[in-house]
Amino acid sequence: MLEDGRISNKQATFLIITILSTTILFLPAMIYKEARQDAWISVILVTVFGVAAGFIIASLGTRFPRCTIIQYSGDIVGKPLGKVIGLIYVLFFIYINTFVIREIGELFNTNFMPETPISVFSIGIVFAAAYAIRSGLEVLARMSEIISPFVLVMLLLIVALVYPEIDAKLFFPVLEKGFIPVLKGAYPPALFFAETIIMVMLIPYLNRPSGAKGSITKAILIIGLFQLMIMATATGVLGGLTADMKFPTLTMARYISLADLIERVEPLIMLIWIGGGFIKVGLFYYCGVLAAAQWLNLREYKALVLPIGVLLTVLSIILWENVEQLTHQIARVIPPYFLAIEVGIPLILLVLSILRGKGGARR
Amino acid sequence: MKKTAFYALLFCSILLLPGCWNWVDIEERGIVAALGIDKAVEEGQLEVTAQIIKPGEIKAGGGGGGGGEAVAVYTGTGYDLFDAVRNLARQTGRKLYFPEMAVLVLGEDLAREGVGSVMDLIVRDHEPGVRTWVLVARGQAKEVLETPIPTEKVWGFGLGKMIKSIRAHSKAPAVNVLDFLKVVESTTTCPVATGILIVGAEKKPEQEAVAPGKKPVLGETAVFKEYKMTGWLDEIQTRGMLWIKGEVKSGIIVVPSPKNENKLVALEIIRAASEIKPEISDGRVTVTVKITEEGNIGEVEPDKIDIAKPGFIEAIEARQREVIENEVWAAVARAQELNADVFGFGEAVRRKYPREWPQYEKMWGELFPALDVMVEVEAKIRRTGMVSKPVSQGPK
Repeated sequence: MLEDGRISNKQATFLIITILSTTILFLPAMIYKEARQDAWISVILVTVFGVAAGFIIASLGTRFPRCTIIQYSGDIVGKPLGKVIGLIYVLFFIYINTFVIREIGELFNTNFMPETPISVFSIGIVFAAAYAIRSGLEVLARMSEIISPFVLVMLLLIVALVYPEIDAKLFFPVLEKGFIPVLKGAYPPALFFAETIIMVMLIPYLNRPSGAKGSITKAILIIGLFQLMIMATATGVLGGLTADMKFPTLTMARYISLADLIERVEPLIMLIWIGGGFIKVGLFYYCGVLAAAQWLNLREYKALVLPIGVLLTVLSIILWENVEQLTHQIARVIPPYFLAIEVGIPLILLVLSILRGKGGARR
Repeated sequence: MKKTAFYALLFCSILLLPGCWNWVDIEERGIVAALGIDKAVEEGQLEVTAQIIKPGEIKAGGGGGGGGEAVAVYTGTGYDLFDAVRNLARQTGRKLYFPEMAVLVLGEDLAREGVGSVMDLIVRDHEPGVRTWVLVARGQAKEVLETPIPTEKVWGFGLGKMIKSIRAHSKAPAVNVLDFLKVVESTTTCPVATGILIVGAEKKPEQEAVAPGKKPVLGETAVFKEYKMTGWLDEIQTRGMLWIKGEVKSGIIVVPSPKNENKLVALEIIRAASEIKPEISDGRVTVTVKITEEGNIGEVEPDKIDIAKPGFIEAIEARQREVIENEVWAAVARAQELNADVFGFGEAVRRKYPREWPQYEKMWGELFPALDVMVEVEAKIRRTGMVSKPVSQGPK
């Protein structure tokens, strides 16, 4: 085995919560753009979708409790095709990570340090993540156990502090333009709620692989609840401006004013972003490295940490000329492809493995 | 050995890590307390006035006062706000720093031309807060910023406090950047901003300390259509608007005494709420505004009347209701005259009739000036203070 570490199912839940928590900062804008004041319904829909996607991913993974998708895809569809699928996932884990790294840099550049070159953030976070994953999966898991409660408390704090500013009128009329905008609003965030795809790499390292379904569902429900809270507060506080802001949650944090004493708490957001972002980058990085090592049949994954890290850093800087290209791609271009990889392929593999009686049944 | 060298290297990195290369000490920052924007004399240019805090003076002036002013006011021009602000550094020697900015004062001329790009910079840039209050100066914003407020060291913060104390009289709206932009989003509702004007004449500096000659006074409402100002609501119309929007927090209503028209009774507004109820029947839109208010008797001119007598309170309540109704009607009439739906009647229709709304939305501009508005006011007097009747000479 490439990885000797084991993580508990609780840690897996925390990992998923942490990697999804960063999306809370920008998703409200994307959802509101389509669904307007019904955005909260979209959040509920996408949470349901996330649970369903997690169910597919976990069902597939638990049929092969000792292997990752790179290893068992060949079993299901045959060696050559399995290699192709494996390669898709290797590239996917690297590619999606470049988006994450760039988004982190963009938030810092836009809101806190406009004059700092973006490469500083990219190199910094990839370097830290590289160090973490060389030490193995357990390190990331423990980090997320520390960070994610923190992140959730921060989000709660923001909601609690900005709560007095909510104007209930802004939630009405419900379903003004029918149900279509609500569905459209659920579409761009779907790809983030299906990021539980990392579990196809992690299930073999769980203490109880059979409990993966529960861990994923728990995590998605918790993050869905928080997303719902933030979405509702954003709708009530910012109204139509939610759609115009790049990071509505940040704008809300800046709007907080409690007795002239607690004001402009956006550093809290910075904490969420650094903590959650680091785990997210680290986890995708880890999955990419592990997948590549297994795909190449290496005995050690550590040799790949550095080259893939360099690749991630460089790609995150050169892939997009400016921030508008980045947001355009996230909202308009990548969703169908990423969703196909995150949900489509696992679903096909699951169906095929059941039909062909591979995995699971043999025990 | 290798380990020691490694830790030594790590230790040295401490020297490099703290701070960024673009750090600026707080004393070196030009901390802006208030920003004023006017149309410049030069065609197409903006004149920007910035009130900058002098950190040294704030500390020094703590006890005995005296000394210099705690703020310095600079004025400069540029092709747009950002340009002008950066040009100011040519005079101040400091790059302006906006997170502490309390108020944004817009000159009337500029407001009438449009403030879209100004508002855009305020939300686009990461430094200014979205809580910055928006004021429109009757006249020049520059004059407002140059006028001292004797009770405050930092005049700009004084302006901010004036807005916070609006709740005492409810004769001006309190609007911050976010409130303003939230309303701009709507296709029918018109944003408003607090009006401010300078009253009084110039005095000699030594007199100024006691009773300021020139002083800024809040009041009235600047009405915008999207980003362009179209007119003013006076103080009565303003409170009428606030009644409708449910934003009256407190204030004083003065009514003639029911027994003697020459004597006055002042009523304090304790709480107020409003409800806008639109109705569409046979394609006609009507809006009913329902206002409920509770007040206390605050001040009675001595008279031979006993306010404890049955009937007196009811009579006062009726007069109070009348005053509120008149204020509301004044606001509605003025808003219809300006064809500016400052109350959000359109949005209320949209919320209640989302299906029918699109057809009304397009012609709201024609509908609103002739809109049927009904006003229902329920005004109560709850308490009468610590005396049961005005103190006057001898027994009756």
